[in-house]
Amino acid sequence: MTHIDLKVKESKKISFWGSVISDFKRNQSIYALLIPAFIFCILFYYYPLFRGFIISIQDYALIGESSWAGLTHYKEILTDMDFWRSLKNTLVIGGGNLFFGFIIQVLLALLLNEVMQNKLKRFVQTIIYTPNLFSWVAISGIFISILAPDIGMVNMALKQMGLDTINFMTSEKWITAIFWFLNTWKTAGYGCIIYLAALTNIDPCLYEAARIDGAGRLKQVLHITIPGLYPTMKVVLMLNLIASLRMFSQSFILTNPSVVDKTEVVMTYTYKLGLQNFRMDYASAVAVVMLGIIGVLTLFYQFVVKKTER
Amino acid sequence: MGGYMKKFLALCMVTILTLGIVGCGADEAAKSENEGKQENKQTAEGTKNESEEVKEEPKQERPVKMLTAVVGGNDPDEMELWNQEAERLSGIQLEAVRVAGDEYDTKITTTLAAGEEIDILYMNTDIFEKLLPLNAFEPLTSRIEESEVLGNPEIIDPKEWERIRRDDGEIYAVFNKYEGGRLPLVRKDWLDQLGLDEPQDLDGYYDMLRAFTFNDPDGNGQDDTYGFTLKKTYDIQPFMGTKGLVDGYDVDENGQLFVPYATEEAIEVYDWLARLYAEGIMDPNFPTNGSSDCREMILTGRAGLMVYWDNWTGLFNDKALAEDPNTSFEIYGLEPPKGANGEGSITTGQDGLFTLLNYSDNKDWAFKFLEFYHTYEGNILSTLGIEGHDYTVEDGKYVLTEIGEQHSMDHGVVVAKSSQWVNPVKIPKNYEQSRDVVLNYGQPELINANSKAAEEIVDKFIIKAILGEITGEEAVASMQKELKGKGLID
Repeated sequence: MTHIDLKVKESKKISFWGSVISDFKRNQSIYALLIPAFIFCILFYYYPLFRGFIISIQDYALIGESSWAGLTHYKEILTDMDFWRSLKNTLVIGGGNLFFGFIIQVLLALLLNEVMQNKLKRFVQTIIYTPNLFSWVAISGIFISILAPDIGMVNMALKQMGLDTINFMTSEKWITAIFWFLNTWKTAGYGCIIYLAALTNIDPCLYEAARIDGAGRLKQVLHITIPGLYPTMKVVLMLNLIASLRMFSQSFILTNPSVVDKTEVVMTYTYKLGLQNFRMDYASAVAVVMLGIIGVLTLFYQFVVKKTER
Repeated sequence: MGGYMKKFLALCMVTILTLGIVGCGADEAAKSENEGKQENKQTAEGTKNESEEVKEEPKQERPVKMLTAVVGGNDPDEMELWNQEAERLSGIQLEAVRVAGDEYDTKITTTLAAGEEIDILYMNTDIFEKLLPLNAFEPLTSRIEESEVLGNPEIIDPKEWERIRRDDGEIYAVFNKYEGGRLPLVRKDWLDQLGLDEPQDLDGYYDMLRAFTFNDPDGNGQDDTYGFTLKKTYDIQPFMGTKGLVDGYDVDENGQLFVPYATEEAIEVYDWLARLYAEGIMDPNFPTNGSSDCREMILTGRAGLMVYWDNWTGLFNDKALAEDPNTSFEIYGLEPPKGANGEGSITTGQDGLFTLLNYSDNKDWAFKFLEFYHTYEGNILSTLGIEGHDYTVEDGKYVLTEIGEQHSMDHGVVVAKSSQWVNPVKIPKNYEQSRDVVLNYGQPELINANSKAAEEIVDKFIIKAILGEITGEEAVASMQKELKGKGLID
């Protein structure tokens, strides 16, 4: 019995590799087209990753010979309060960006989908997409002046209402919310357009059938539109999750010393360690750990998604 | 047939892509080879005549490569002109690359990590302190001592060399310029308008700044001015000086390393600054201000005082006069406020330094360029700029062109390090008076590899104290706790 099982397994193994080889032989010209892209990925993605890992287990010398450090830098991370602080900030800011961004993007797409006048629809789309074209430097300049404590629009309005002014950009109470708001404002249009594109793939017959069955607009949205968006939501959410954990520019540009405890994220911390303090080995270890965290969270997300699908 | 066609097309595509990639590399290689050949040809031609006269004159194998943040042209096109001018004046082929802004530190790191072919590397003292332990720099002591230019006490004061000599007795860098210092720069016309005397102590400064805020110093009938604008905590040192405190680190009598701003003496000054903020005398945007924001506040008449570099005294006045020749705008350098014991101080700028990388195979020519840099012609190049572009020489007199006026005689250097340097065009209005204040009260800050990390912690709590979120006492206690916790002070 066991003998037969083994034979079966062996034959499967052979057939798998056999199929791979025969497929390769059959489509070698197509695979050849992949070679430049494959080389590009090896050179510019995987080699730097590997090199970064090697640096993380060395006492890296910018000039001259580097010595092996083993897991010293990884052990140091465990007791590095600045790392844990920046990781917490990454999760808080990134989590908020992900949550609010997702809600607003879907909501805007659903609302825009209900707009019947094409010109108005396009105009609104353009308006909400425009912030995505701004760099964080420009956004920082715009909002620092809008939120300025003396002549900023928001504080002028607060003064008019007889309320105390708020120094938003230096307030630890407010700064996280400001980050969430700015990121949501910037990315809303981009996500919205992806969802709108997905909405066009929903079969109109489904809406027609629902109308015949007496479903109103709200029920159509709840039972046809939103389920129709699920596949897109899953992909966009996963991409946004990764982007949130890798955030750099927003924190780098908008952080000032008074709120650094709330706004420094892992990527800016790594930048500071590696490129400003020349601790490339430790910075690489932090980057590798962060890569692991991103990997684990992404796998966990996929696991949850698959489970809910079942 | 279709299958063959597909295969044929696929192979064509792969070939084209591969050739494209290889071709780009080949183009680059060919280009650099051609450039190299041309350079050698030019060098050969350039030195041909000389070698006929002096056979022993060594030949420059390749241009000196320099990476800099401040020196050179103001844009890539002008950088090329500047390199050509440098070669014309010095006879040394130079390829200087200027990387402006915050990206410079990153560029230094990547340059060293990649082993890029750079001979001269410019940096500020804080980066120098971090890189020196890596043994990246060539010791220059003997070269400097033997140099007719750099070793000449009439050009650079030997005390200056002693100041940057390391514990091993070696000097690893050459200065870029006279760095000056940051002193209180005030709108003198506002002082005159309000009939105020120059302030002498913190109370005097408070009265002056209050008047600038509430007494309509510009006479426009509107409440639209602040007494004091600043960039984070960068500009508070003259006020800290009343308690004998300087920027950065210091060492006590027991040899213990400490941060002056994190000592109890500083508490009173933090509370004084918090009072300025609370009463609306200080620009409330200071935590997010950059230097350019503060300069704008001064130039547009929205603030009466900022603490800034002495050379900006003249630059401010020149800019205002260029805008309106009849302007009453006048910037003037004030002496720092004095403490109870009459003590006052201001911070002199950290040195900008040129280093020779020890892996360079072009050290001799690189050092020759640094020697030239501190000659009179070198000073002209780094201040006025490029002849025929920034200035012309008419009847032996230097005359700035329109572009030269815009560049404010600054191509990395405003005032040369050389004691013999006299600006041949003009001395900007009130500059000398500000420079004298710096010379009288200037104190260098002690910088080490941890300076930036300590500064970040100190900044955080000072801003909180000024904003009134915590008291000066709490700020100092928090600084001490965090600095000690991270091993940044003894």
